[in-house]
Amino acid sequence: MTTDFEARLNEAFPNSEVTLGSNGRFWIALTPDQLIPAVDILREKLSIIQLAVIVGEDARDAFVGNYVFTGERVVVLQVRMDHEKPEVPSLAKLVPGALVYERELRDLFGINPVGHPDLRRQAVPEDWPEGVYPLRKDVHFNREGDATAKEAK
Amino acid sequence: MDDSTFRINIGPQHPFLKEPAKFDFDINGEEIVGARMNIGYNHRGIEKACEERNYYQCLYLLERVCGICSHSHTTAFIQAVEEIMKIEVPRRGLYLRTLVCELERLHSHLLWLGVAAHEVGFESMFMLVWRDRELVMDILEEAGGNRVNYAINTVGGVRRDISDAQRKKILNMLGVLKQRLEYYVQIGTTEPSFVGRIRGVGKLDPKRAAEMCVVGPFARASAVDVDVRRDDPYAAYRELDFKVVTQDSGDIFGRVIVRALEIVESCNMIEQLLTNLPEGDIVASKVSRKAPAGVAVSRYEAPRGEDVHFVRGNGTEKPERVRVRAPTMANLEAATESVIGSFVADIPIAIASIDPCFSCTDRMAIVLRDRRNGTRVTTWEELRRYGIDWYGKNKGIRF
Repeated sequence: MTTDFEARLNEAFPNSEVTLGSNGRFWIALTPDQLIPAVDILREKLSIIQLAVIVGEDARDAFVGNYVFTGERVVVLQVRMDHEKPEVPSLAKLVPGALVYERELRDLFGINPVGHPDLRRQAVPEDWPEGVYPLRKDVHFNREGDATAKEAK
Repeated sequence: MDDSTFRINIGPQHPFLKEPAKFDFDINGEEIVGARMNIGYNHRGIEKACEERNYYQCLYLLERVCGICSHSHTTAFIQAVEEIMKIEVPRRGLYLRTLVCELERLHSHLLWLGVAAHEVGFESMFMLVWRDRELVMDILEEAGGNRVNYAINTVGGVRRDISDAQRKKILNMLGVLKQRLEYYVQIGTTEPSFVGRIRGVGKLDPKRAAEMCVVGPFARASAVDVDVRRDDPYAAYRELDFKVVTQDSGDIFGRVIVRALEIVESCNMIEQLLTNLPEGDIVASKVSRKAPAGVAVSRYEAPRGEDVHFVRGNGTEKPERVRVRAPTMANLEAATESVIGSFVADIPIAIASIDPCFSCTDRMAIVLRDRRNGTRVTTWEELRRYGIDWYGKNKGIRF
């Protein structure tokens, strides 16, 4: 079974780097404009439709969005974004379940999901200052101060 | 919204909500024609805080993500850490871990059955179910030493073993529990006033459920056949014999049946675990405090649905990134939608039918000083001091 799935995955993504990680998870590295076609391929060719979570990461030289899809196996689409202007196309039309995770990406990392229909704040309060993204590595957790310390400087 | 519709705002603080969330319902007469929700009123900054703590400290912090499925979050996290560190957990350790998993599911589903009964005004069932939930809590206390945060997981295994006498005691209590559970399952699935109140309410059809990526009993009641315990087995689930319960009605009644039958399955699994409990160590020896650079995605079937933890190690004692995805996050949007077409009086049970847990879902903002109104932020030390002084002055209690 394992090799069968791996072969099908490699065949479906001939131009991308597919890595088999620990515990049988597959990782596929992508650029932002490859994301929508890749999600389409997962749905059409491998019938993987369940998006478990989108994990944002601040890799310091880039932002990474890890789209964890679950189905027959776990496939993680790793999208690397520009650190200065992180943008990624929204999956709103393809996977409605992605909306809540994309709002979190915006709130916590400042990654802009282009085409998202409803970008109300979710993970941070409504009066949170603009431009402070708590999970970025240059924002430090400080009990007396807070994330606004960066803004106050 | 036309003239005949009216919008009601519910939350963030509202008597029917046990935890904060905000819902806007558009109603036309008694019928709900539109719904939307917002969350984010319960942030505690846990993901950021994890980045500044070592793996053992993270474990205790993540235990407190949720009061009901505390073991779920630690297990999901610890599995990811063990995967990065490449630690083999001894078989007895895995069995004990799984034992607490299933006990937790038992107490969580019983809690939910009580809450569901309460939300539709069936108070006697609520009282009875919660009385017997205490039996499970006693077992958990016996096995883990605590009623709520059992703190049984550690890197490489579990922290507490159970003796043979304890094992027998738990099996006895389980016997009593099983008898009573049969009665509750029967009442919950056949009692006309209860069933009449929930059948056909809060419908979510299978296609939409799959699109919205819902998980757990909520998905299984809409014929989405997912269960991490079977699809991607972890801990000792490979060696257990159990059925995945699904229903195709997609309404609240279906969700009651799924959970009721899962309670029975859990009891059977606990019996299997205790009868086949292997001998040996409970924790791996020689566990490093540092994790190498690496990444792991861990899945866990919590009582409310799939928990996903994403952990990245960077070669130090502290993780580079921890991401917690609790099941309510995946389910809430779909649950809000499922209310459309029902009546206003159905809102509490429809929202409660996914067993929402907002403390799991909202994890990560940081206390913010309100500069506009000049509100002061009380530090932990000040709060502690205040509590001690208050009790000293008013109640004569010295700490």
